[in-house]
Amino acid sequence: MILDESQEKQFIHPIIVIIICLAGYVRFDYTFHKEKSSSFIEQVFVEVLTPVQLGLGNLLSGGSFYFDRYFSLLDTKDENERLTQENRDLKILVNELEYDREENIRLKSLMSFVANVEYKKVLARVISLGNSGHYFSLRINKGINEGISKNDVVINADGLVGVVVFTSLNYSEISTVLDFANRVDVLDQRSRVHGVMRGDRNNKCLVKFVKKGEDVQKNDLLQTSGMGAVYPKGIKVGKVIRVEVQESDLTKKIIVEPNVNFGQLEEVIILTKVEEQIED
Amino acid sequence: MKIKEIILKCVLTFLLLIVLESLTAVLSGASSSVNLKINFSLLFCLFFILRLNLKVASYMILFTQLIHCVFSLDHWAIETIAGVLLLIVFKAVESFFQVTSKIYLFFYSLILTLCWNLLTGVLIYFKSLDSDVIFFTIVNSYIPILVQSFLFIFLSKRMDLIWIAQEDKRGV
Repeated sequence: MILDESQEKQFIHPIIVIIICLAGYVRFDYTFHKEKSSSFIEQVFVEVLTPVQLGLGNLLSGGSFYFDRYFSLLDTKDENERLTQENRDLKILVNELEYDREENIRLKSLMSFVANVEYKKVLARVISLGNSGHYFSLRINKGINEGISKNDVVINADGLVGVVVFTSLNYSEISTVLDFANRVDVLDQRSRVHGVMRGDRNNKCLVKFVKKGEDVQKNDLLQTSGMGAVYPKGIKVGKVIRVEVQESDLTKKIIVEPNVNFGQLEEVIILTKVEEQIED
Repeated sequence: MKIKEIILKCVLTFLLLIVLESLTAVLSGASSSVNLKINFSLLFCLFFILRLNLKVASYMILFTQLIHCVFSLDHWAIETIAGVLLLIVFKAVESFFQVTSKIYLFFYSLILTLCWNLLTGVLIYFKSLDSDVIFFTIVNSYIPILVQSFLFIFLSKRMDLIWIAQEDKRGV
């Protein structure tokens, strides 16, 4: 291919752009998706554009809200009775758990529990899903102003949602457990076997680094192990739906269905670290 | 083309991008289709590669990706490097292709999106050293790629209205 002088000059511009991008690429941290600190410009963009996104979302959901509301009222009475009964059962359960919690606190103090990390719970609404083809993220309507910071853990009533990877003043981005780049150290509740879980295809997760001989079976429940200093121990994660063992591999391939239904996620709880004290 | 004219076209393009990115984020959540996310920023970049010259297209890809990263966790630098590399390759071999009909537009979008995903996968691999990422970025996105390629046919016509002047259908 022979290029004339004007064509050669044109190639300077893409090369300038690539040089600018290489500077950004060097700073790219795969584990936390973006640069370690959220840049000011990026925060300003998020603060300005997210309300636009919210406005469009409200406009679209407004129409469907009234339509859905009419049909949901049709069986309200039955649902009310069912919820009343469920409420009674839950009150009994709460009393039992309260007793267990007090007992747990007593036992921990007896054993001189070493690190005691306390969390403040912040309730947030999910605004949108991230538009990425590679990562699976969510945006919520709470940010630095509510004390949220990077690496805060996000849960809901069903279990682990993910971890905060970006914050601006009023919004945050969460990398969910479905995200390929998100790693969670998990523990089998039955056999206490460890593994590392990451997002996989079709809204499932994959647990790696479990040796062939280890005891992990279908329908086993998984929870966070507390290793890795990001996720606290004991948060429900999901259920094993398939265990694959191949002759040539040293480890098992475990497919997990997350407890959280990400398609219908509306509210989440962010666990923000309040204090960290070391006791003797 | 005058600078003033280009700025106006850029503003229109980026406004359209912001609206489409916002709608994608909201609609994909509402329909629970967590796997079917249309990457409009990529489609915009494919249009720039196809229709604009090297100089304008390379900066437009950069700005498009900077806007896109506000709506996602995608890294602007990785996406832009992939886009500009594809731009250079496409411009070098452009004379061999005539992407004019709808079917050509479909296959152009399909092939370049696959190459784009492969490149971003490789760039992420260099940082993570996790070879699964290349496989994952391609396999996980085959349905959105097909849908995107169909959408590209319609989007490129709309974008032609903004970018291609009636008196010069050959490009900027």
